[in-house]
Amino acid sequence: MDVPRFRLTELPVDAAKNVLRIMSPIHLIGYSLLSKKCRNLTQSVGMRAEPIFCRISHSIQLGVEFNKTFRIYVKLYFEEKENGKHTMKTSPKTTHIGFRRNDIGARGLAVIESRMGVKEWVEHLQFLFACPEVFVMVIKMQSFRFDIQSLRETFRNLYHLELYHTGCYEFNDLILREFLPITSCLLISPSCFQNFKIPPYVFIQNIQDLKILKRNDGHLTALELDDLLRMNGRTIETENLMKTVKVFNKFLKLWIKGSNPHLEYISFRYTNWNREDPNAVMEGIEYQSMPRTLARKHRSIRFPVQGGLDFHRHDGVKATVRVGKLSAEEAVVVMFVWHDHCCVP
Amino acid sequence: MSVENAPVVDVDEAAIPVEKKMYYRFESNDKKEFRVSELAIQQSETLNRLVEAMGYTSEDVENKPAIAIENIDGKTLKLVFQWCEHHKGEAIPVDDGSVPKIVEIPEFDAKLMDIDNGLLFKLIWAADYLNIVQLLNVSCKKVANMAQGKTPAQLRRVYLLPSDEEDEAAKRAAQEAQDPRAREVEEEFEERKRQGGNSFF
Repeated sequence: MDVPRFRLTELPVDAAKNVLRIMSPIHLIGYSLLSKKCRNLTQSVGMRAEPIFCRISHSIQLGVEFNKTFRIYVKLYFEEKENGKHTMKTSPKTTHIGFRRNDIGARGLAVIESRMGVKEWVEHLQFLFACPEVFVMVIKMQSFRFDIQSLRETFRNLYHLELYHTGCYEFNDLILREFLPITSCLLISPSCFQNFKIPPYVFIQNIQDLKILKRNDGHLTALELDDLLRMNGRTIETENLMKTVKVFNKFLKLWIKGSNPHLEYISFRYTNWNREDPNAVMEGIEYQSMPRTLARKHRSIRFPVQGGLDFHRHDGVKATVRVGKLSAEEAVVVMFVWHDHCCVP
Repeated sequence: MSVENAPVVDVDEAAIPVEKKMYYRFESNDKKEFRVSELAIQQSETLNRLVEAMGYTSEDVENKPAIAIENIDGKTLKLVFQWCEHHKGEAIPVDDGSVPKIVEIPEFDAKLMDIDNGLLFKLIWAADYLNIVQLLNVSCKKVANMAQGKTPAQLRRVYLLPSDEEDEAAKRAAQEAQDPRAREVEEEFEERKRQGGNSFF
C-alpha cells in the first residue's frame, strides 16, 4: 500500500503549527522526537503545561497536564537488573506514550521506539511545554530499583511528594532524607516505616500541606500528642487513625495556649465512632455552638463550613471544630482556624 | 480571457437572494477567471478586506479587470472558491488556542479534498494566504490524519522530515553555495584597499 507523502515542513509556519495542534498528542510527541527542527516547531505551538509529575514504581511515568483537562504521559519500562540500580540516564526497554482528555473522554496509547532515558524525557517535556521548574513525585512499590542520587539530580526541586511503601524501608528513608524539605505538599503512608511509626523529622517539616494516608496499608495509625504538637504544616489531614479523641482534646487545649501557631486546618479520620465523641473532644473547653444555617468559607476546603463549635485562642484567633460520623464505623474531627488569610468572602 | 469564457464555479443560484447577487471576478496566476459571490468572499479575511478597500460597484465588477491573485493557480483557486461558496454565510471559527484542536471534516469538504497531496499542499498554502480559517483547519486536519497509526519513524517518511544530519548537510551546502559571492566581495574589498580607497562603498 502506498504511504502518503506530504511536505509538512514546506508549509507556511502557521499552517504547519496548525497541523500539529490538530494532530493527536501521541503523534505530536512522536513528531517532536524526529529532529531539532521538529522539536522546535512543536515547542512553537505554545502549549503551556503544569509541573511535570513523575510516578515511580517498577516503571517510571512522566506526565504533563494542561488546564486540568488534558494529560500527556510517557511511561518507561526497564530491563530487570541483577546488580546495581537504574539511573535516570538508563535507556528503557520499552516506551509508551499516552494521552487522556477528560472533557471529551478521549484517550490513546502507543508504543514507540526510543532510547531516551528519564532525564532526557524530562528535559524534552520541559522544553516542549515550558513546564515550571518544580516537580510532583509519587513513589510506589518497587521504586527502590532506581538510583536515589540520580533521582535527586533529575528532580531537583520537588514541591509535592507522595510516598507509599516502596518495599524497602531504607529506600523510603533515603527518599525523605534526599527530598525533604518540600515546600508545598507531603503525602505519606505510615506503612513506609517499621511499626507504622512516622518519625519526628517528618512532622517538623515546615510545609503547606501534610497528609498521612491510609492507602496501601490496613493498619491503623497511632498519633500521639507529641506528634500533633510537632506538626509544622499549615493544613494536616490524617486517615485511618486509632481513636484518639482524648489526645485531640488535649491538643485543642494546648492550641488555645499557643501551640501550632501556623495551623490553618487539621482533620482526623478515625474508627469506632461514638455519639459521645463531640462532648469528649470539647471537654473542658469553653465553646459556642453555631447553627447549621451559618455557612462560612475557609480557604482549605471547597465547600462551606456549616455550623460547628466555635472557640478562641488566648490571643483571640477563632477556630471551629466539627465532629461528625462519615459511615457506620468512620468519623472525623475537623478544626478550622480563622486566620485573616483563611477567611474567604 | 473574456468573462464569457471564464470557468465559473458551480453555484446554487436558487440559494442566493436576487438583491445580493454581486459577484466579484478573480484571476489566478494561470489566467483562469472566477466569479465569486460577495457572501462567499467573506470566508476569506484577505479577499474580504481587499474588496472592501476597493469599494467596487456592480458596474465596476463587470467593467474593471478581474482582481489578480498572482500566487495561486486556477486548479487550486477553483477548490478554494468552491469551498467558500458552499460555506458562505457560516460563522468564521474563533481560535481559542486549545490543543489538541478539535476539527471535524464535513462530507462536502472530504469530497472536495479527495485530491492528491500536491494539490492539498497548494490548497493549504492558498487557505493560509487568503486567511480562510475553516478551510485551513479542515485541510490541516487531513494532513494531521496522515499520522494516524504511524510510529515516529513512519511519520518521518509520511511528512518527508529530514534528520538532524540531513538538515546540517543541507545547511552546509547552502553556505557553500553562497561562498563564491562572499569570496568575490572579499577580493573586491582587498583590491580597493590596495588602490588606496578609504571606503568600500
